[in-house]
Amino acid sequence: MREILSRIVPTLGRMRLLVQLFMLWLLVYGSSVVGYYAAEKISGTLPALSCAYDKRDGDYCVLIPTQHILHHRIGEAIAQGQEVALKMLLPLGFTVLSFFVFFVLLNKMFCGWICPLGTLQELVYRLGRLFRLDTRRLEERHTAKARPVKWLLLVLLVLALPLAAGLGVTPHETGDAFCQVCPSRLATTLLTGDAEQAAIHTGGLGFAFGAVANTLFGFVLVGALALRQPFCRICPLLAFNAFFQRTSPMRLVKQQHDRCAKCGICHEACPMDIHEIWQSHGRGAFHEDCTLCGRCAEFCPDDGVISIKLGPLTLFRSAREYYKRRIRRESPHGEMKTIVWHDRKGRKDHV
Amino acid sequence: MVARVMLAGCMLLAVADGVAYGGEGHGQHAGQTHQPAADVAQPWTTYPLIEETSASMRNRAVFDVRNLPALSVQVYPPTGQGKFPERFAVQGGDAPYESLLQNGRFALTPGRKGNYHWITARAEVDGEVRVASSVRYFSNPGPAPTAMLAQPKHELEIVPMPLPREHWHYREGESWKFLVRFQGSPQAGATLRLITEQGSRVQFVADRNGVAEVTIPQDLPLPTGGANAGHHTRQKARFVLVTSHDKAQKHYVTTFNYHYIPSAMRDRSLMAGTIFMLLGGLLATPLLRRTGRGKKEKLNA
Repeated sequence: MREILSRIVPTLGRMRLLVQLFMLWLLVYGSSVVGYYAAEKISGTLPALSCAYDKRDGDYCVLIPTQHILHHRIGEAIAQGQEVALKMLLPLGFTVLSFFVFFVLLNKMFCGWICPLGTLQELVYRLGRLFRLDTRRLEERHTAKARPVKWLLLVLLVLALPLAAGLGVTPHETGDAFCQVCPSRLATTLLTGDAEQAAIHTGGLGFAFGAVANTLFGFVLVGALALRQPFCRICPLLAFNAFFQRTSPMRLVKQQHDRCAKCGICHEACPMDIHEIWQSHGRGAFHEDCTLCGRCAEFCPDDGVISIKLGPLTLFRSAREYYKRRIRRESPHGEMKTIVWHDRKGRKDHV
Repeated sequence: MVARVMLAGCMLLAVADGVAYGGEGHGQHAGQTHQPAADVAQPWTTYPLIEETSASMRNRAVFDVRNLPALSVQVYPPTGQGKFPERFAVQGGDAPYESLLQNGRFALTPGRKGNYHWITARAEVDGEVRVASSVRYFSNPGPAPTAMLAQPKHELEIVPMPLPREHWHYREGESWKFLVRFQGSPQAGATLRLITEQGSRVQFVADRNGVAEVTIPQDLPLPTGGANAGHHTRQKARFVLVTSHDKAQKHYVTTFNYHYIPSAMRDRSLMAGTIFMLLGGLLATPLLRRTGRGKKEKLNA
C-alpha cells in the first residue's frame, strides 16, 4: 500500500499538483458535490480566487463579501447620514472571522495549493515547458517594483472604490471594482463554457473595466508560458492574506546554514522569485509573498534547512536524498527532465 | 359574496385572454426602478400574483396580493435539513407562519436564518382553488432552500428546480426547470403557461417527471437609462407561470410569479472582449523571446 502510494505521490510537488487539480475541479464545478445552494453557504470567504460569477462553483472568494459589505452596508449607511453602528460592522467582522477559520489552518497554502487561478497559471507554465520555451524570472530590482502593486490594488480596488461607490462618490460599477478586473472571473467562467464574462460591456465604465480585465487576462495567459505565476505577484488576495500570515501555526521555517550563501537553488525554485528565501533566515525567510508551495524545501540540498511546520509538527523538511531524487525529475525552474512511459505490460521506459 | 364576484370576474378575464398588459408604460417603468413597482402599475395579468412593491427595503419586503381574494399569506422560511451534502449547511431557521393581509398588502422580514422565503396565498370559491406563490431572497445566511421547496404546501404547486443562486437571476433567453406537482406527486404532461409583463405568452409541457424547462422570452425593450446603469437601476420585468388541474369536480389554478432581467449578452460584445484578450497576449509576447537560459540549463542538466 505504501509502495503504491509512493508511486502515485512520489514527491511533495506531485502531491501539490493532485491537490491543486482536485481543488480546481471542486471550486470551478463543485456545486454538484457540495450542493447547488450549499456552494454559496460553505463560507463565501475562501482565501483563494474562486469566483461567484462561475455558476457551478463550490465556494467563493473573501474579496466578494468584503467589497459588498463596504459598498452596500457601510458606504451606503454613511451616505444616508446614518451613524455607523456595530450591526453594520458585524457582517464585516463575521466575514473576516469565517475567513480566518479557514486561513488559520493552511495559511497562504490557499494561494499555493488551492487557488484556481494559481493552478491554471502553473498548468500554463508547464505547457510552456512542453513547448520548450525559455523561462523568465524577475530580478530583485523587478520584484521590488512589483511587490507594492498588490497592496495598491487591495487598498484601491477592494477597499476604497467599493466604499466610495456606497458613499455615492464613484459609479455603482466600482462597487466590486476588483471583481471587474479579476482574471479568475474570466478563467473560471470560461472553464464552465460560459462566455458571458469574457464579453465586455459596450459602453461606459463597464467597457473600461472589461478592456482592462480582458487585456490582463490575455497577458497572464500568454505570460504564464514563460513566467511563473504572473498574476499572483500583484494579486490583492496575496496582500489580504499577508495581513494574517503570522497568526497561523502553518509556516515556513529556514535555519541558518553555512552553504546557503553559495547555493541559492531555493531561490531558483521559488515561483514567486522571493530572494529572501536564499538571503535570509528565520522570520525574514517567510516573506509575505510566500505561497507555501514548498518548492524551496524540496529543492534545498541540505538536511533540515528549510521546513514547513504546523505548530510543533514538521510536515516536510529538506533532505539531501529527497533533493537528489527531485532534481532527477525536474529542474528548480520547472523543466521536466524525464518523461516516464509505461508500456502495456506496465514496464517503465525513460525517455 | 364580493370575493365570489371578484373571483368570477378574474376567471372570466383569464379565459378571455389571460393577460391584459399595459404596453410601453410598463417597459419604461420596469426599466427605471430597482424593484418592479407593482403598487403603481396597471394590472398586467389577471392571474393571482404576489408582487413586491417599491416600499421594500433591504431587510423588509412589502408585497401586494393581487387578483386573489385571500385574507392571509403563508410564509415558509428555509428550514429543515436538505439532502446530503447540504446538511453540512447551517441548520435551523423559523417554522412556517401565516401573515394577515391588510388591504391586500403585507410586510415580510427575514427569519433568523436563511435567504429564500417562499410566500403563498390561497383562496377557494365555488369549487375553484386558486394559489399564488412567489419567493423573496434576503442576504441572510442559513439553510439551503432545498427542504423548504420539497415540502408540499398546497394541492397544486409550481416548484422552481432550482431557484437562482445569489448573484443570479432569471434572464432573457435562459432556460430554467420547474416541477409541477399535485398533492405531492409530479404531474407528467402538465402544461405551464408563461406570461410576461411585456406581453409574451409561451406554453411548456412537463416531462414524465413533471418537470418543464421554461425559456424566458427575449422581450424586454432596449434600456433608456444607458447600457451600464449598474444593478441598482437594472432593467427588470415581471413574469408569471400558470398551471391548472382538475380533480374531483374541483378546478385548481396555481401561479408562480417573479421577475427577470435582460439577457447577459445584450449590452456586451464577445468580439471586443476577444480583441482585448489578444491585445493582452500580444503585450506578453516579449516574455516568450529566446533568452538562451533554457539551453544553458539543459546543458547543465
